[in-house]
Amino acid sequence: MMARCYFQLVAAAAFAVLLLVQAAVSAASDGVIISQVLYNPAATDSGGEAVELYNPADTLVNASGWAIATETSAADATLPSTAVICSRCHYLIADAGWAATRDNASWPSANYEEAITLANTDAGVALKDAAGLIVDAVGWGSAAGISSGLFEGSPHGGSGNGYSLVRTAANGSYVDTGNNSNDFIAATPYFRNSSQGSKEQGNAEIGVTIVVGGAIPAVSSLDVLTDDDGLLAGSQISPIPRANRTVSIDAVVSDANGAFDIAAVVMHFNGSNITMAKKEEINSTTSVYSAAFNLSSSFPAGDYTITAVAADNSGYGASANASFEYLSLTAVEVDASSVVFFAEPGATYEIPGDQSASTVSNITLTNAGNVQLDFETWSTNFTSGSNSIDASMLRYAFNGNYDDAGSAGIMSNARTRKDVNLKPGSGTGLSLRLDMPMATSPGNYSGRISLVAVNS
Amino acid sequence: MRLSFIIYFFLIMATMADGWGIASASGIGVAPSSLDFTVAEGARASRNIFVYNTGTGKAAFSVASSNAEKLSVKPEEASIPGGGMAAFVVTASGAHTGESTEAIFGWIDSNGSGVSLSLGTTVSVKISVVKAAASSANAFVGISLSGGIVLLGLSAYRLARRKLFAGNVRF
Repeated sequence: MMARCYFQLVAAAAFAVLLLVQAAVSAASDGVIISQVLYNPAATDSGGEAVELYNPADTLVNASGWAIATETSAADATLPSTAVICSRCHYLIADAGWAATRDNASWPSANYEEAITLANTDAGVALKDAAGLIVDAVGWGSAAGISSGLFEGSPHGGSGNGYSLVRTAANGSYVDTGNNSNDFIAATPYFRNSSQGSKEQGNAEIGVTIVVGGAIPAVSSLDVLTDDDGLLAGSQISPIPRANRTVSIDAVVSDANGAFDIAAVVMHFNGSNITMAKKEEINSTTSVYSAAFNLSSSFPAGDYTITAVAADNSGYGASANASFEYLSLTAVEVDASSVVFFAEPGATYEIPGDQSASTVSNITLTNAGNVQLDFETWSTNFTSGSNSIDASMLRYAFNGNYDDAGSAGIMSNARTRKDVNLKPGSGTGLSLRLDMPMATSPGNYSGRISLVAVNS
Repeated sequence: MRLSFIIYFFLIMATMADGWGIASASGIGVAPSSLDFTVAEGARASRNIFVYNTGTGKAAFSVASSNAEKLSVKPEEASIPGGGMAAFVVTASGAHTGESTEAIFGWIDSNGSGVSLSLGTTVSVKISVVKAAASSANAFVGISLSGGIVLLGLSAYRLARRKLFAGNVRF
C-alpha cells in the first residue's frame, strides 16, 4: 500500500505574511519602568498585590538591592542579590503569599515575593535603585494625598477592584511620558515574569493578526473510469486473457491560487508512480488530470486503491483515493489442432502431452487467467453406429504420469476433479492413452471429452 | 486385412472446422471466477460475468446454470469472435432463506466430428438468502390485526358476562 500523508492543513505562509501590530507613539526610556500595578485585587490584598517591571534596554539590568517604596515604607520590598532583569524582559514582584492567593491561578509566579502594602486610595509605588534614586513611580488617586516621589506628573485616577494600572503601549513600546494619568489605564490584569517572552507589551494585550496568503491545492475527486459491471456500485475491472487491461483514471484538482499553481499530480499504485497529464482546464482554478496504466491478465485479483497526490509550486499538496476491484479470471487455452488415434484391437496408443504451445499434435493446456486452476474431466462413450467403446478405455494424465492419482485417472461418464494446481501463466501437457478392447469392431468412433477449468 | 482393423479416432478441437484441417488454438475465459450473492427472501440480484474467446477464430459459447430455480443466466448462448468478449447477466433468486452453492458453466460449443474435445470453465456461485425486512405497511397490518383480535376478545368477554349475569337474575 502506498498510503501517503501529505501536509494537510497547518497552513504555512504561502505568500505574504502581514503583521499588524497595534500601537502608537512614544519611545520608552532605556531605564527600567513600572509596567503594571495591581494594588486592589479582587480577592485578598494580602498576597494578591503585585508590581510588574520592564527593562526596555538592550542590556540586562542588575536590580540587586533595588527597592519598592510605598506609602508604608521607603523600602517595602528589597530585591535580592540575584535580581537581574534581562533585556526586554519583565520582572514580577508580588506580595508574600502570591503563589497561593493571587486572583488568578493562571497568572505567572512572581520573580520575587515579599510582604508589601499598597493602599487602595491616594497612594503610589516607586522603584528605587540600589543607590536610592527613583527609577520610576506610579501613583493613583489624589496627588495631594500621595507621598512625594510615589507618582509622576499627575497620578492616575485609580482602578477598580480587581483591575490593574497598566502602562499603555504604542508601536511596540511602552509609553512613558512622565505623567501617570496619561501613561496608565485601568485594565484587566495580565502579568508576565522574566521567563515569559512577551516583550514591550503595554496594556495587557497586543493584537496580532497574521494573514496567510495563497492556498493549498485540493483533489476534489479521483475516479476510476474503467468499469465493466454497471450492475454493481464501484469499479469492477475484468482482466482480458493473454492481454493487458488498461485502467483509466481522472482526478479533478483545484487551487485557489489558480490552476497554474499546480506543479504536478502523481498517481501512486502498487508501488509505481505515474505522472498524470492535464486533460482539461475546467476553469481558472480547476483542472482535470488523467492517467492510465495496464494490468496483465495474470495480475492478481483483488481490491486495490489508487492515490493521487497534487502538489503546488510552493510544495504543498493534497491527495485523494479511489478503489477498484480487479476481477478473478478463470481462463484456459489448448493448442492442439487435431489428434488421431490409430489403434488395433488389443493394442495401446498414446498421445503424450507437452508444454509447448507450438506442437499442435500434443495437447498443452495453458492458464491464461489470474487464478490457479484444477480440472474436471469426463467423457461420453465412443460410438460408431451400434458399436461402442467405453470411456474407461481412455486414460489421461496432466503431468505425464498415469500413476499419479492426484492428476491422472481413468476417463468416465461422471465428472472427476483433478488437482492440477496450474498456476497463472503456466502450462501443462494433457496425455491420453487408449487401450483398445480386443473385440472392438472396426469403424470411425466419435464422442466427446470434456475438460472444465475450475478455480482451485 | 490388417488395415481393416485399424480404428480411427479423431480428437478434434471444438473450434475446428469439420474434416482433417489443423485447428487454431482455442480457449475460454470467464471473469469473475466466483460470485457471491446476498439476496432478500423473495427478491433477486444480478451481476455480470464476462466470457472471453481466447482463440483466433469465431466460436459459439454456451452458458448454463446448475440450478435454474435459484440461478439464471441470460443469454444462454453467444457467438464470440476471436479475441472477443460477451457479457452475460447472472441473476440469483431468493426463494427461501439459507445458503447454497451453485455454479455457472461456460462452454465452447464443439462442432467437430469424431471425438471432440469440449473446453469449459466453472464459476462458483454462493447464494445467501436472508429474511426480508418487515415493511412499515406490514407492521401496520400486523398491529391492526392484533388490536382487532384483542378488541374482539374483550367484546366476547363482556357479552358472556352479561349473559351470565342475566341468567343469574332469571334463576
